[in-house]
Amino acid sequence: MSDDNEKTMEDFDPHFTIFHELMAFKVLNILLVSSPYDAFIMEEEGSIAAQVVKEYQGLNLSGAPWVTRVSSAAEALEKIRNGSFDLVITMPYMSGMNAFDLGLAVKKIRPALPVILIAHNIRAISPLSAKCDVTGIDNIFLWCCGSDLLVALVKNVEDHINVVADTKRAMVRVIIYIEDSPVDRSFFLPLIYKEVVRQTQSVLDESLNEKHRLLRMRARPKVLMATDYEQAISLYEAYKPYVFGIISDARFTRECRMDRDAGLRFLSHVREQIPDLPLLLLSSEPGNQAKAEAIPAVSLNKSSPMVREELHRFFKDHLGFGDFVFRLPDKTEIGRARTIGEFEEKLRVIPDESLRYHAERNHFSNWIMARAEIALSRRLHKEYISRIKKTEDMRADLVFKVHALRKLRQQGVVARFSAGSYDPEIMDFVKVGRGSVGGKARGLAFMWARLQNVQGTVLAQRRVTIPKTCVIAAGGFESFIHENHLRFADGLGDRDIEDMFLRAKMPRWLSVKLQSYLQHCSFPLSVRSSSLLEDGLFKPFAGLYSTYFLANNHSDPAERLWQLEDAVKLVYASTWFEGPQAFARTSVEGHDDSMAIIIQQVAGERYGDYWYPAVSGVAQSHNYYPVLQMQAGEGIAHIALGIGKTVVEGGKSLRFSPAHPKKLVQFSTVDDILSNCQRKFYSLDVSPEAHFRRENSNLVQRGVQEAEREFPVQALSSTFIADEYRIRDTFLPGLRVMTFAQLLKYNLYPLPAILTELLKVGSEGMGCEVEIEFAVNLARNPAESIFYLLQLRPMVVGAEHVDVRIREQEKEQAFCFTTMCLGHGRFTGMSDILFVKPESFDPSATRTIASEVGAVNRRLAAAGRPYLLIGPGRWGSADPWLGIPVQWGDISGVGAIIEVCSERIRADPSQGSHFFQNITSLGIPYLTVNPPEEGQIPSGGQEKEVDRLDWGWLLSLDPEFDGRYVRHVRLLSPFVIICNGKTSESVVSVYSAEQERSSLYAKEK
Amino acid sequence: MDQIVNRIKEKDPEQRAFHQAVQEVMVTVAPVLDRNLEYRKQAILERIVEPERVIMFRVPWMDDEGQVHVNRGFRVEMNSALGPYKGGLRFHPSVNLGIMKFLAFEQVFKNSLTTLAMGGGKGGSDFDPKGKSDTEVMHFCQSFMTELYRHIGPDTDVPAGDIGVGAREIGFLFGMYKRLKNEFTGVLTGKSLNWGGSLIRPEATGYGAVYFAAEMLATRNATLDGKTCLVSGSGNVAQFTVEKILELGGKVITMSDSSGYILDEQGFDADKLAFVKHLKNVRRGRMLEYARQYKDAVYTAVDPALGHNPLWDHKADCAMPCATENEINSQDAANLIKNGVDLVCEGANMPSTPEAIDIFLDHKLLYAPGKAANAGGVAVSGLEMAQNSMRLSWPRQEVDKRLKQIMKSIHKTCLDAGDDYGVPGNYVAGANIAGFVKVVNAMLDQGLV
Repeated sequence: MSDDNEKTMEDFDPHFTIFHELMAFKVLNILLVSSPYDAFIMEEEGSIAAQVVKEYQGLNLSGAPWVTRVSSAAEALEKIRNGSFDLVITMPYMSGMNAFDLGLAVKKIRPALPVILIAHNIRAISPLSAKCDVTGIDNIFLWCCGSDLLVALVKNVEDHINVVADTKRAMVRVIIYIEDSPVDRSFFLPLIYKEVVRQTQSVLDESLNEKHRLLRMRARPKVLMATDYEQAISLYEAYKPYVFGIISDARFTRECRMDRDAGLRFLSHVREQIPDLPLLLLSSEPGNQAKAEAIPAVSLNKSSPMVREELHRFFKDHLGFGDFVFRLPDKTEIGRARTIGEFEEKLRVIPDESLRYHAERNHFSNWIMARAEIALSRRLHKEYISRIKKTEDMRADLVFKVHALRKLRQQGVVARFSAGSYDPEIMDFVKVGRGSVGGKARGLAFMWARLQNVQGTVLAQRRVTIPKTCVIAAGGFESFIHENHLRFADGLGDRDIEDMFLRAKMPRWLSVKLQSYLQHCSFPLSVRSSSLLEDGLFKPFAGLYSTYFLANNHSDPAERLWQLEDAVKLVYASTWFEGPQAFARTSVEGHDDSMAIIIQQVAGERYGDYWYPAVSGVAQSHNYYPVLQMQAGEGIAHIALGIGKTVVEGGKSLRFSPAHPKKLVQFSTVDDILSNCQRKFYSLDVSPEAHFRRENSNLVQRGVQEAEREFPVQALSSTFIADEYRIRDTFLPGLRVMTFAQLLKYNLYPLPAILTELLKVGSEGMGCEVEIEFAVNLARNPAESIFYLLQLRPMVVGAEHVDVRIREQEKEQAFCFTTMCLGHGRFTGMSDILFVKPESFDPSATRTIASEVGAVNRRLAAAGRPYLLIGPGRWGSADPWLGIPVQWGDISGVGAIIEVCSERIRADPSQGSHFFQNITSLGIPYLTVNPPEEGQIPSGGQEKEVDRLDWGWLLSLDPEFDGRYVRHVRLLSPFVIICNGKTSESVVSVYSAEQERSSLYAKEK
Repeated sequence: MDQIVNRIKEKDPEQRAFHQAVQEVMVTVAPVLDRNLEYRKQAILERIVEPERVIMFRVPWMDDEGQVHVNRGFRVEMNSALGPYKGGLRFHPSVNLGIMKFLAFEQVFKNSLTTLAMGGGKGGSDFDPKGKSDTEVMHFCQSFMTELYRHIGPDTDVPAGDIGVGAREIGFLFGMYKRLKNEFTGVLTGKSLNWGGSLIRPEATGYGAVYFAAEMLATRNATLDGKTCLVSGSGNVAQFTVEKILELGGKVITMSDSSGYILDEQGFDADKLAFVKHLKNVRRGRMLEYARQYKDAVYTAVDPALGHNPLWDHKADCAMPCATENEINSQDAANLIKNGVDLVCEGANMPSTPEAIDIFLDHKLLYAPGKAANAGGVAVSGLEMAQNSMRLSWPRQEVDKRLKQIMKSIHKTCLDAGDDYGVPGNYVAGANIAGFVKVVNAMLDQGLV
């Protein structure tokens, strides 16, 4: 292999997308110039156009060119001037001029337009007069053998034009064919192309999806034709790194003279440089066979009646097309491999002597090369492989490389599920059925593809992957509904809907596919929705549909299938539940949802009778509650032990900023940690007797303490030492506390870095803020841990988040404006305001104020009326001199909080840190109003907007309750709080219903 | 006394918390001052309200991102008449000189009540530990100690933990002190067990309250054996209060949390208490689950509309509020008396409202204010100092025995003081007076310093 090969290898992108750029030039329009008589001859078996189409169809090729026939040179030239043709095919004689003159005339108009001469009669083209100027004709053929010639010469024109780009971009292989006789090349060229095309197609069955099929076709070997020695040398020198076979006539022109040994010379020249390149000499002279063997090269008798079969055998035996036939050194056949998958299987088991026999003869490399797997072919070249002395090492090396290629080929690809070719070892993402894969699957597939291109980041250094995923496309749902004649009816409860779906039968085709899939999967599965409306930008259906988990370990395969089918039916049923229906009515104006299903391997390991991952969680690329040193753009993550249901459903989890993993606001003191740490987690019962239950997604909730002997708890928990009232980040006898200290403080595994990078990739890819769901299998050797990406979706939750731009008019009309808010969205539905009266506020009476607040809160909470709470100082401060020392129970019904910085309480804003856990989990906006004192210029200068709160207006309202220190007022219509989490600005305004609608309408426009 | 209060208001008008603390003490010790003219002559009040020493210092430290921060550190060494200054360190943004002086002032009398040789002090910083990494907390503590070490020592000033200063911070502070002074001494309390901490610390407040209650009953020739007790709360203090009552033969029929309370007429036993401990400490569950586990128990949810706490409305002999502030109001007090309760001993801080206290005192109930009854925690701090001095680590039983002895002493001190000043059996007055008198007498003994 040459050095050029080495250099070009590094630039070579082995993945599929790049191959779209191959075969950029295609012949789409052919101008056929022939006399009516010539056309009559050619059209014995139908019109030229039809014959071309038929040939294309016969070869399973797409994009047959359009043929326009004209019968005179004048007409032809007129067409060329005014039209767009990619190829001119001309007969020798037509009205007006001969073909050679026509060629010259065409070149004057379009110098690059190829002109091919086809003659019916050899005498029309041979011998040619010395005065004949043939420069206008690019090649000459004889119409001898049928319309396959047309396909061949079209493909050849394309190959010559595309070869420069295709070899550079994708190192596409090249066959050089040297033949000076129009008769011979008219015969052999179609044969060669048939071999190339059929061989390429024969490996298409192994392809994973349409994209890959297209790739393979475009990367088929190119055939470059030469008619003399110099032209052959020129092609060889130009494309030497890519040549993988040469077929040559024996006798052709060299140095302007006919040389009977030109072909032998050429092949010898090549052989000296590339000892193992397949070479074929086509010659009808008997003596040339021995000369060819001496080179060495294969020799075929052109005149042999078996020449087609012999050519086919040459392609198969020497160019690696067809099955790989495993043989012993004595040529005894011991096995065959049709696909690379079978090839890998056989490599593991064939006898040592067969392995070495093929390796040393470069058979492996050639066979792989024929499948356009250039990088692997190089790595299997005998130069490298035969250096490995021990056969077992050689075998291991071969198997490893082939397996790695198969795995690489499908990474980032959604492959069609096929019972015969599905291999869960290498296929991570497969699709069953027709139709859309739905939002969740789409997002996941997108991220999976993106992950293949991350270089030089932690994502490339660690195992970051998706679980084995099988998507039942929307066609499955449609079949299910249609075949069972299911109709939605108002008034059906969710449970009734579930029962109805469970009674229905799964379509047979789908049941067969699922059964086949289960035969390859022995791991626990999750079954979840991927609705067509879900996870589309601004269509927040996330969390409305059901998810189920299956142990998938029953000894009876029928039972496993039944459980899977039931889970699928139940997820289907959830499209008709009240929740999604109600949401759909409000958000997408009655658009019916269809449903794809994601069946996914459940991340985790087995611990006794339970299966769960060490860590699961959700991360968002934007943090709407950036307190202390957090920045909103750094994102936020929530993690928990066990299956992610804990986090998704708002259970106790650990919240941290991936940029500051050691700074945990809700874990600042021992009491905070004990109050806020996770105590329970979800796992899947994988005991042999485990049944499938609808409730709790078929999961079991266990106590952390109960699982203290299991590795994840041991690795990720700390211990509360009661005697010392402290928490130690080690595993000691005592109370287990889920602090995830080993991850966040001591970097046992770079989870924060992985999340940061993933969120960046996801948000850049989607063009918006994103949320991801993930799980981590933590291994005892952290380097072997696996991070699973489970979902990716746009971070839009709730209609109120659609638009939170605050216009100038809204600022002016608001009774409160602030430049420091936590939270994001538009909050309506509150009419009650509870505030500490500024004129009667006494810093020494804050405990009493807290009691008054608590009393009003109890009344409002009992009435189901969330309210806006306004007061000075730090709400919830433990120190009564710094704020109102309320407990959460005293303000549990609050809907929003305003903390007013007051000169009577000199305290830094708390930013809600005392109730951080509550306000973030409940999404309560927390506003801080810091108006400048009279005469004081706010920090930031005059340009900075000024916080304000209209006390005069508040105090003018009639009170519902007027205590010694607090007042409760109720507005006639609800007020609106708009929090822009991006700018940290917020307004609180009183809107009438009309103003609200027109404001929203204006924003939608 | 008004003059003294006005003077401190003029001097430091912004130290409102300190003003309030001084005012409250002045009111309670008025009888003492009336009886002892020498105290006025020696200007003992003027002296006692002025700290012996106030140290204020800069604490620069660097965060994980390399940014420099500067906080302010304080140590108010209020009074060392009875022993080395003793009091906690508080790391909280609210900390300022006024707060420190107020806390230090109260600490003097609290420590005095323990009958141990401890003066009073308080310190801290406006550093906010919320959201800080371990490393940042360590950097801060080390910087804090590089100044404080000059002013503290096992025989000079022995800080402890407080809000924002737990075992982690004590460890970092001690490590730095040891490095700077090149000595391993009991300069801080609240240390970890494996390097000088004392056992019984978590139990101390609860055990101490029960020991105090036992002493109070002993004045009427009674014991806790066979007594029915109402206990509120289910946290640390309540759990160990119940544990000690059971050990002494009492019967506990109630426990509670913020959502409601349990009435178990059969009484809590060791297994039931273990259930509550597991429920609260491990599972962080609610007391409602106790009623699900033990079917004979009755759970009553909190009713905000009620003007009282029904937990206190059951027949019993003793009541031990161990939950929170202001959980016994005047109606609750009336209910307790109506149900035959003749002892109220506070495990929590200020659980009884002033009106409730008045009712207890009017009815001559055995009433122990938290100031005296829950001094067990402070007492064990003193025991840690003692162990450190002897380079010994006492077993659990030893510490418990000494704790009991201290609570006995506290009780006697309060009782004697009440007797002395014409309010026999008034532990409130007794506690205030006893604490004050002990300190001021020592001050007088030690001359004008």
